[in-house]
Amino acid sequence: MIELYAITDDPAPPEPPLVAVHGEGLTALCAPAERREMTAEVLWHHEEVIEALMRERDLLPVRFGTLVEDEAAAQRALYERHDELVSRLDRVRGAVELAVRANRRDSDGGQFFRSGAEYMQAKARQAEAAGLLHDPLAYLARDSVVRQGPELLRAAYLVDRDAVEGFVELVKRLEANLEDVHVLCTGPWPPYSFTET
Amino acid sequence: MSTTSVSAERDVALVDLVDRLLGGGVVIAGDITLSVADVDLVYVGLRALVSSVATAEEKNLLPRMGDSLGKSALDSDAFQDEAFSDDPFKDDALGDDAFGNDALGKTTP
Repeated sequence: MIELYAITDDPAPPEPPLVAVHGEGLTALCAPAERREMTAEVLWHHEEVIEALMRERDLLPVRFGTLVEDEAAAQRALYERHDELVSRLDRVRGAVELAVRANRRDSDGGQFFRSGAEYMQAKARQAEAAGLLHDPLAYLARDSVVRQGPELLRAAYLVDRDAVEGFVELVKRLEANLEDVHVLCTGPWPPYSFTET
Repeated sequence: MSTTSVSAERDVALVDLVDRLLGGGVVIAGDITLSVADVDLVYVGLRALVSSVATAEEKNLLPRMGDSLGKSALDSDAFQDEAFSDDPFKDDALGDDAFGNDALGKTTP
Protein backbone atom coordinates (compact mmCIF):
# COMPACT_ATOMS: atom_id res chain seq x y z
CA MET A 1 0.00 0.00 0.00
CA ILE A 2 1.11 3.57 -0.63
CA GLU A 3 -0.12 6.76 0.91
CA LEU A 4 -1.01 9.78 -1.20
CA TYR A 5 0.21 13.12 0.16
CA ALA A 6 -0.42 15.65 -2.55
CA ILE A 7 -1.14 16.21 -6.22
CA THR A 8 0.78 18.69 -8.31
CA ASP A 9 1.57 19.48 -11.92
CA ASP A 10 5.20 20.18 -11.11
CA PRO A 11 7.23 17.18 -12.32
CA ALA A 12 10.21 17.85 -10.01
CA PRO A 13 11.15 14.75 -8.00
CA PRO A 14 10.45 14.91 -4.25
CA GLU A 15 12.92 13.97 -1.52
CA PRO A 16 12.94 10.29 -0.54
CA PRO A 17 11.07 8.44 0.84
CA LEU A 18 8.49 10.29 -1.24
CA VAL A 19 8.09 9.18 -4.82
CA ALA A 20 6.45 10.85 -7.78
CA VAL A 21 3.84 9.00 -9.83
CA HIS A 22 3.17 10.74 -13.14
CA GLY A 23 0.05 10.63 -15.24
CA GLU A 24 -1.17 12.91 -18.01
CA GLY A 25 0.77 15.97 -16.87
CA LEU A 26 -0.09 15.51 -13.21
CA THR A 27 2.04 14.08 -10.43
CA ALA A 28 0.90 12.25 -7.30
CA LEU A 29 3.40 12.55 -4.45
CA CYS A 30 3.29 9.32 -2.47
CA ALA A 31 5.20 7.31 0.10
CA PRO A 32 5.05 3.71 1.27
CA ALA A 33 2.20 3.45 3.79
CA GLU A 34 3.26 2.82 7.35
CA ARG A 35 1.20 1.43 10.14
CA ARG A 36 1.08 4.19 12.71
CA GLU A 37 -0.72 5.15 15.82
CA MET A 38 -2.89 8.16 15.28
CA THR A 39 -1.51 10.89 17.47
CA ALA A 40 -1.10 14.63 17.22
CA GLU A 41 2.57 14.03 16.39
CA VAL A 42 1.65 11.81 13.45
CA LEU A 43 -0.68 14.48 12.11
CA TRP A 44 2.02 17.11 12.53
CA HIS A 45 4.55 14.95 10.75
CA HIS A 46 2.17 14.51 7.82
CA GLU A 47 1.66 18.26 7.75
CA GLU A 48 5.41 18.91 7.79
CA VAL A 49 5.92 16.63 4.80
CA ILE A 50 3.30 18.52 2.79
CA GLU A 51 4.58 21.92 3.89
CA ALA A 52 8.07 20.98 2.72
CA LEU A 53 6.59 20.03 -0.66
CA MET A 54 4.54 23.23 -0.74
CA ARG A 55 7.68 25.35 -0.41
CA GLU A 56 8.84 24.14 -3.80
CA ARG A 57 5.62 23.76 -5.76
CA ASP A 58 1.91 24.48 -5.95
CA LEU A 59 -0.08 21.47 -4.85
CA LEU A 60 -3.39 20.06 -3.73
CA PRO A 61 -3.10 18.29 -0.37
CA VAL A 62 -4.87 14.93 -0.35
CA ARG A 63 -7.23 14.04 2.49
CA PHE A 64 -5.24 12.54 5.37
CA GLY A 65 -5.21 8.75 5.37
CA THR A 66 -5.72 8.18 1.66
CA LEU A 67 -4.10 4.84 0.83
CA VAL A 68 -4.07 3.14 -2.54
CA GLU A 69 -2.99 -0.33 -3.55
CA ASP A 70 0.04 0.60 -5.62
CA GLU A 71 1.50 3.21 -7.95
CA ALA A 72 -0.74 2.02 -10.77
CA ALA A 73 -3.79 2.84 -8.66
CA ALA A 74 -2.40 6.30 -7.91
CA GLN A 75 -1.81 6.83 -11.60
CA ARG A 76 -5.35 5.66 -12.39
CA ALA A 77 -6.71 8.33 -10.05
CA LEU A 78 -4.74 10.98 -11.93
CA TYR A 79 -6.19 9.86 -15.26
CA GLU A 80 -9.74 9.49 -14.04
CA ARG A 81 -9.85 12.83 -12.23
CA HIS A 82 -7.53 14.73 -14.57
CA ASP A 83 -9.67 17.69 -15.65
CA GLU A 84 -11.10 18.27 -12.21
CA LEU A 85 -7.68 18.11 -10.52
CA VAL A 86 -6.20 20.52 -13.06
CA SER A 87 -8.92 23.10 -12.47
CA ARG A 88 -8.56 22.75 -8.71
CA LEU A 89 -4.80 23.21 -8.98
CA ASP A 90 -5.31 26.34 -11.06
CA ARG A 91 -7.57 27.70 -8.36
CA VAL A 92 -4.89 27.49 -5.65
CA ARG A 93 -1.85 28.25 -7.78
CA GLY A 94 0.48 30.74 -6.10
CA ALA A 95 -1.59 30.84 -2.92
CA VAL A 96 -1.56 29.43 0.61
CA GLU A 97 -4.24 29.02 3.23
CA LEU A 98 -4.51 31.02 6.44
CA ALA A 99 -6.77 30.05 9.32
CA VAL A 100 -8.54 32.62 11.46
CA ARG A 101 -10.47 31.99 14.65
CA ALA A 102 -12.01 34.76 16.70
CA ASN A 103 -13.30 34.49 20.26
CA ARG A 104 -14.81 36.83 22.77
CA ARG A 105 -12.04 37.79 25.12
CA ASP A 106 -14.14 37.34 28.25
CA SER A 107 -15.89 34.22 27.05
CA ASP A 108 -16.47 32.14 30.16
CA GLY A 109 -19.44 30.22 28.84
CA GLY A 110 -21.61 31.51 31.65
CA GLN A 111 -23.17 34.54 30.09
CA PHE A 112 -26.55 35.40 31.58
CA PHE A 113 -29.30 37.12 29.67
CA ARG A 114 -32.21 38.76 31.40
CA SER A 115 -34.47 38.51 28.38
CA GLY A 116 -34.80 37.04 24.94
CA ALA A 117 -34.28 40.50 23.52
CA GLU A 118 -31.00 40.86 25.35
CA TYR A 119 -29.91 37.47 24.05
CA MET A 120 -30.82 38.46 20.51
CA GLN A 121 -28.91 41.71 20.86
CA ALA A 122 -25.82 39.86 22.05
CA LYS A 123 -26.12 37.47 19.10
CA ALA A 124 -26.42 40.39 16.72
CA ARG A 125 -23.34 42.04 18.17
CA GLN A 126 -21.39 38.82 17.74
CA ALA A 127 -22.49 38.46 14.14
CA GLU A 128 -21.52 42.06 13.52
CA ALA A 129 -18.06 41.49 15.03
CA ALA A 130 -17.60 38.39 12.89
CA GLY A 131 -18.58 40.36 9.81
CA LEU A 132 -16.27 43.26 10.67
CA LEU A 133 -13.45 40.76 10.79
CA HIS A 134 -14.40 38.45 7.96
CA ASP A 135 -15.54 40.89 5.28
CA PRO A 136 -12.28 42.81 4.86
CA LEU A 137 -10.24 39.60 5.09
CA ALA A 138 -12.41 37.91 2.47
CA TYR A 139 -12.00 40.96 0.26
CA LEU A 140 -8.22 40.75 0.48
CA ALA A 141 -8.15 36.98 0.03
CA ARG A 142 -8.55 35.16 -3.25
CA ASP A 143 -11.22 32.96 -1.70
CA SER A 144 -12.63 32.16 1.71
CA VAL A 145 -14.61 29.54 3.59
CA VAL A 146 -16.46 30.06 6.87
CA ARG A 147 -16.61 26.89 8.94
CA GLN A 148 -18.91 25.78 11.69
CA GLY A 149 -17.36 26.15 15.10
CA PRO A 150 -17.90 27.39 18.62
CA GLU A 151 -16.06 30.64 17.90
CA LEU A 152 -17.40 34.00 16.74
CA LEU A 153 -15.63 33.22 13.51
CA ARG A 154 -13.82 30.16 12.24
CA ALA A 155 -12.68 30.70 8.68
CA ALA A 156 -10.08 29.80 6.09
CA TYR A 157 -8.67 32.21 3.55
CA LEU A 158 -6.85 31.48 0.32
CA VAL A 159 -4.16 34.16 0.10
CA ASP A 160 -1.56 34.87 -2.57
CA ARG A 161 1.88 33.90 -1.29
CA ASP A 162 3.13 37.46 -1.59
CA ALA A 163 0.06 38.87 0.18
CA VAL A 164 0.42 36.84 3.39
CA GLU A 165 2.24 39.55 5.27
CA GLY A 166 -0.35 42.14 4.33
CA PHE A 167 -3.12 39.77 5.36
CA VAL A 168 -1.54 39.27 8.78
CA GLU A 169 -1.17 43.02 9.22
CA LEU A 170 -4.84 43.45 8.37
CA VAL A 171 -5.81 40.82 10.96
CA LYS A 172 -3.87 42.77 13.59
CA ARG A 173 -5.49 46.07 12.64
CA LEU A 174 -8.97 44.57 12.65
CA GLU A 175 -8.42 42.93 16.01
CA ALA A 176 -7.26 46.24 17.45
CA ASN A 177 -10.55 47.79 16.34
CA LEU A 178 -12.70 45.11 17.92
CA GLU A 179 -13.25 45.38 21.62
CA ASP A 180 -13.35 42.14 23.59
CA VAL A 181 -12.43 39.97 20.64
CA HIS A 182 -9.18 38.10 20.29
CA VAL A 183 -8.07 36.57 17.06
CA LEU A 184 -5.91 33.56 16.35
CA CYS A 185 -4.38 33.40 12.91
CA THR A 186 -2.31 30.37 11.91
CA GLY A 187 -0.56 29.31 8.78
CA PRO A 188 0.43 29.35 6.08
CA TRP A 189 -1.21 25.98 5.51
CA PRO A 190 -1.46 23.98 2.32
CA PRO A 191 -4.80 24.86 0.71
CA TYR A 192 -6.79 22.09 2.43
CA SER A 193 -10.01 24.09 2.49
CA PHE A 194 -9.91 25.01 -1.20
CA THR A 195 -9.60 21.67 -2.92
CA GLU A 196 -13.27 21.33 -3.79
CA THR A 197 -14.77 23.12 -6.74
CA MET B 1 12.59 30.77 23.73
CA SER B 2 11.46 27.82 25.77
CA THR B 3 10.24 24.52 24.47
CA THR B 4 7.11 25.02 26.54
CA SER B 5 6.01 28.05 24.61
CA VAL B 6 6.66 26.32 21.31
CA SER B 7 4.52 23.34 22.25
CA ALA B 8 1.80 25.64 23.57
CA GLU B 9 1.72 27.29 20.18
CA ARG B 10 1.45 23.92 18.51
CA ASP B 11 -1.47 23.11 20.75
CA VAL B 12 -3.21 26.27 19.63
CA ALA B 13 -2.68 25.36 15.99
CA LEU B 14 -3.78 21.76 16.58
CA VAL B 15 -7.43 22.73 16.23
CA ASP B 16 -6.67 24.16 12.81
CA LEU B 17 -4.54 21.15 11.90
CA VAL B 18 -7.27 18.64 12.74
CA ASP B 19 -9.83 20.75 10.89
CA ARG B 20 -7.70 20.61 7.78
CA LEU B 21 -6.15 17.16 7.72
CA LEU B 22 -9.33 15.33 8.62
CA GLY B 23 -11.86 17.64 7.03
CA GLY B 24 -10.06 19.07 4.01
CA GLY B 25 -7.93 18.02 1.09
CA VAL B 26 -8.74 16.26 -2.13
CA VAL B 27 -10.86 13.17 -1.66
CA ILE B 28 -9.68 10.50 -4.06
CA ALA B 29 -12.75 8.34 -4.25
CA GLY B 30 -12.71 4.61 -4.79
CA ASP B 31 -9.41 3.55 -3.31
CA ILE B 32 -9.59 4.92 0.20
CA THR B 33 -9.01 2.17 2.70
CA LEU B 34 -8.94 4.29 5.83
CA SER B 35 -12.33 3.44 7.22
CA VAL B 36 -14.76 5.84 8.81
CA ALA B 37 -14.09 4.05 12.08
CA ASP B 38 -10.40 4.88 11.85
CA VAL B 39 -11.17 8.54 11.34
CA ASP B 40 -13.49 8.41 14.33
CA LEU B 41 -10.64 6.96 16.35
CA VAL B 42 -8.42 9.83 15.34
CA TYR B 43 -11.07 12.29 16.43
CA VAL B 44 -11.66 10.48 19.70
CA GLY B 45 -7.96 10.42 20.43
CA LEU B 46 -7.59 14.12 19.77
CA ARG B 47 -10.84 15.35 21.20
CA ALA B 48 -9.59 15.63 24.78
CA LEU B 49 -6.54 17.59 23.68
CA VAL B 50 -8.46 19.87 21.37
CA SER B 51 -11.09 20.69 23.95
CA SER B 52 -8.45 21.39 26.58
CA VAL B 53 -6.82 23.78 24.13
CA ALA B 54 -10.15 25.48 23.46
CA THR B 55 -10.62 25.95 27.18
CA ALA B 56 -7.15 27.38 27.59
CA GLU B 57 -7.78 29.79 24.71
CA GLU B 58 -10.97 31.01 26.30
CA LYS B 59 -9.12 31.73 29.50
CA ASN B 60 -6.33 33.46 27.62
CA LEU B 61 -3.77 31.01 28.94
CA LEU B 62 -2.17 30.49 25.59
CA PRO B 63 -0.38 33.02 23.43
CA ARG B 64 -2.63 35.14 21.30
CA MET B 65 -1.96 37.10 18.19
CA GLY B 66 1.32 38.93 18.40
CA ASP B 67 2.66 36.73 21.18
CA SER B 68 2.74 33.89 18.80
CA LEU B 69 5.51 31.49 18.05
CA GLY B 70 5.97 28.78 15.55
CA LYS B 71 2.91 27.98 13.53
CA SER B 72 1.26 31.33 13.92
CA ALA B 73 1.33 33.49 10.84
CA LEU B 74 1.26 36.48 13.10
CA ASP B 75 4.81 36.12 14.26
CA SER B 76 6.17 38.63 11.81
CA ASP B 77 9.66 38.26 13.25
CA ALA B 78 9.65 34.67 12.14
CA PHE B 79 9.13 35.85 8.57
CA GLN B 80 12.31 37.86 8.77
CA ASP B 81 14.29 35.18 10.56
CA GLU B 82 13.37 32.54 8.10
CA ALA B 83 16.27 33.20 5.77
CA PHE B 84 18.85 33.03 8.53
CA SER B 85 20.42 29.98 10.01
CA ASP B 86 19.99 31.23 13.56
CA ASP B 87 16.23 30.77 13.40
CA PRO B 88 15.49 29.48 16.91
CA PHE B 89 13.25 26.72 15.57
CA LYS B 90 16.15 25.18 13.73
CA ASP B 91 17.76 24.24 16.99
CA ASP B 92 14.93 22.61 18.82
CA ALA B 93 13.98 18.99 18.83
CA LEU B 94 11.20 19.55 16.33
CA GLY B 95 13.59 19.93 13.45
CA ASP B 96 13.85 22.52 10.75
CA ASP B 97 10.62 21.76 9.01
CA ALA B 98 8.49 21.74 12.11
CA PHE B 99 6.66 24.94 11.41
CA GLY B 100 4.76 26.38 8.55
CA ASN B 101 6.42 29.73 8.27
CA ASP B 102 8.97 28.21 5.97
CA ALA B 103 6.68 28.66 3.01
CA LEU B 104 7.12 32.36 3.46
CA GLY B 105 10.72 32.08 2.39
CA LYS B 106 9.47 32.57 -1.13
CA THR B 107 7.67 35.75 -0.34
CA THR B 108 10.34 37.46 1.70
CA PRO B 109 13.21 38.65 -0.43
